[in-house]
Amino acid sequence: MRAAHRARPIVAVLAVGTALGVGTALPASAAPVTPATAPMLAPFYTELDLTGDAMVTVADLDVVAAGLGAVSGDAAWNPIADVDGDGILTVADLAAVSGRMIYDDGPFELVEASLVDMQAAMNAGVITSADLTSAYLERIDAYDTRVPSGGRALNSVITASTTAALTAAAEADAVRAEEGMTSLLLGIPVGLKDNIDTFDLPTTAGCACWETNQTTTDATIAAALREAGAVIVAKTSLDEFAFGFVSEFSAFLPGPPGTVPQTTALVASPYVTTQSAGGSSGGTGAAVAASLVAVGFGTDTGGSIRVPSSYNQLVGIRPTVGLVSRSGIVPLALSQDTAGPLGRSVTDAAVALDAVVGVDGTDPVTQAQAGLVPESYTASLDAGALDGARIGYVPAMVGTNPTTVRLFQQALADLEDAGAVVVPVTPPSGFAAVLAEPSGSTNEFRHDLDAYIAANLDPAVPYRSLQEIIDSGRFVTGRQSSYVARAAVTDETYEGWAGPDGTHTLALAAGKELVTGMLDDAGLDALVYPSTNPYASLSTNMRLSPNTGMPAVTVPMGQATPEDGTIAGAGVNLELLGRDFDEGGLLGLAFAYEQATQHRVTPTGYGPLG
Amino acid sequence: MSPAPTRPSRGWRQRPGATAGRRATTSTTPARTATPIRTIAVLALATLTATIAPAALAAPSTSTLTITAPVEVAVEETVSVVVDLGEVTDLYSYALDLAYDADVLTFVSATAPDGGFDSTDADGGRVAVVHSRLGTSPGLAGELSVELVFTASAPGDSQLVVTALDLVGSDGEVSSPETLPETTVTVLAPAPTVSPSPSPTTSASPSASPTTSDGASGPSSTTGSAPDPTDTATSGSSGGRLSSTGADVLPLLLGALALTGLGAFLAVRRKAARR
Repeated sequence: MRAAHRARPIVAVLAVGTALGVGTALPASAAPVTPATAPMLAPFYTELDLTGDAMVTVADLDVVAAGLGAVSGDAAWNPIADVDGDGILTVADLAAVSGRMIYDDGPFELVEASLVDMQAAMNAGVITSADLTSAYLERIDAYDTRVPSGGRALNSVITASTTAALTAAAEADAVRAEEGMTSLLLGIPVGLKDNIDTFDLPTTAGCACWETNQTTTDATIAAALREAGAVIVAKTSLDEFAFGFVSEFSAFLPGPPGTVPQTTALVASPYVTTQSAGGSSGGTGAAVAASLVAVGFGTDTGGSIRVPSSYNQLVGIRPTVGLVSRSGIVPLALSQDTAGPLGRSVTDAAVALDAVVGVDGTDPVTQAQAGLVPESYTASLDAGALDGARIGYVPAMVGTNPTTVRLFQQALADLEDAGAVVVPVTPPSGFAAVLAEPSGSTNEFRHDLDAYIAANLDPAVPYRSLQEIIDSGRFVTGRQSSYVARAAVTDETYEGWAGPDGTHTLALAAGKELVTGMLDDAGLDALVYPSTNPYASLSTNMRLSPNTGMPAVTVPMGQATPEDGTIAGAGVNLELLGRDFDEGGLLGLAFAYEQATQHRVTPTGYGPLG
Repeated sequence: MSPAPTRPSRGWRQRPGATAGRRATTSTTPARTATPIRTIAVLALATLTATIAPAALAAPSTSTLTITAPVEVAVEETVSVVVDLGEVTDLYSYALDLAYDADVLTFVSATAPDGGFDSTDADGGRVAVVHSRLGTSPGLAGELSVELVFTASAPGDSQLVVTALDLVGSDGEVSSPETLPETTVTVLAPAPTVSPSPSPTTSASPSASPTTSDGASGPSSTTGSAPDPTDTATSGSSGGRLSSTGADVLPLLLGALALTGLGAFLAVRRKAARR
């Protein structure tokens, strides 16, 4: 029944429409192009497809136009096209179908723009990726080191890409001209935490000791992002070596021998610039929140994606250990290290995650995902996903902070309003032990760092062990005692901790079994809890995901008010934890919650450049 | 591991305040030549102001609705029929049906606003024109008219009747004017001799104020081809004057007329593509 129309490139439609303005069909010379798979599988964008390519294009509008006036039983009748369900195809149906195209020829505003907004503007020719990349670079220039009155500079970017990013943007524009929108990341400027290797920008891990680390290769996820058409525009600030929740770093700041001791900088939250952006992916968090990049990536060993997401009103995904390769990322503790996106919406985060999943032979843990990864996480973005879902929470994880308690209670009510069954869960006796298991960073860091140094570190870097870094004095000296302790961890200690039968290895496996059992016993789709308090951690909530290896998605649930007596304007996120490799399920629930509540607000002070 | 064979030089920059001298990081980066995005936005705004309104206004409406056509034309001459929708707001899509006598007139082409989706289907004395904006694009606003171009194919009278007009706003609301306009064009047999243009005649509109073509905006003046009757008849359901052709539409109209031959070709192509 479906016609054999093939999608036409949107740019060609624009060009013809502009040049002729006549109400006639495209000339036959317009070469039809159909991407191998639709770049966006969210039901909103696929459910009115009439031509079998999982998206709405001009070809679908041709189908509706050809059927105008048709009623059931007519050859041209199409029940999907009868959007208003009145039994006849009309121009109202055509308008409804057209509304599902990713296309917008209106004025484009960069601040807070979603990835779909950017794609729509690029598809319409209103902007190019080169424009977008230049605009983000200008915003980094204008805002990142600006000290606001009574506050601190964001300090979110360690290295901004200029020529390489603009070259990549031009390439993305050429791809769009030839093939249309091949990916929702095509031409999108992204920020990567500066512990993710990039062959065209140095990777410092935030440390002055590694300013000259220009790797010859990309991290697996950086290469995957480029493959998807993304433009790597900035390497973002972090807690040195990804250890901490304040994003303090020393890279490219004055230090020995000229300046002793090494100076450092902190990343500020754009909402309350006297406060930390959180860590360790605080630079990504601040940059995404202030629209200095379109979307970003961080790493999370014990909260480093989710804390900055909560402090900066972003959606963050800590994936299942094994979904996203860590190869080419400066490690902290490979038993718990993950990499994942931070975005201004669930959709943006889901799109970014899509690009970086996959089995990678250089990170064997990724083999666990085989057969468990959907074609696209965007397919889960259903605003009705909470209807009938069962959501559990452990009351003890809510804490006592007035803002957090108020927002969490409201979130439970909102989940119920959206159709979810909310279930208080009494955890089994082993649950406390799961949350009490410490981070792997103490016993694993030196071991895992040595492996990175051997495989990835630029041979020109003079400091090639944790001990040499300590000896250099070119690091955040406030971390010295931690570094000294970690440098002293023996191979035997490591093996007894993280080896096949190591205590930590067994604890994580037990944690996964216990928490999966909690979900199964209560028939839950997810556990929810607050990620943090306002600009402060909340007990050991951040450990639930790393100590089980299970995935978590964190999403804004509101802001502190003056009446709370906390930090007015501070965001606090709701975190959803689910079964291994159920990122899709979690993203669906998070999307439905986000659509129903829309809690994220735009930080003031980082508006459009004049 | 060997060093990178070609390390990109200075294709990046550190945050301002970074230490100089440790390596050449405070480099003179090449000036970016791409147009700043705000400039693009301004340009887009400038060109779209005349045609684009903020989304989510009230249901679309027209201030006036008229149809204008020559009173008399000779066989083989071009017949420009303009349906003027007047001032529109937040118009995301529209569908216009016009009935004519296919024994007298042959449909050639129709104009449409810049951008968006267009469909024109002429068959058996009925032409259906559909236009829609795309995706989340804002609705049209401002003066809007649709020109339908015919060729006079045989002597006789043809009624030109707007049989349906549906307007869809960005919010999905649909409105349809209660009263639809019509007019008549007379196609004269070829003159026995090659003669100058006929004497001007006055409008024969039964229900609206007669108007004369004012050159710049009158559709019949834009053909720029052989002499033709210079007066037009306007019949409007709301009795309005002939509105000047929308600024956004006029250049396209000129282009469309220049491409009349191509338009015919495209119309044929379209029918073939439709199966």
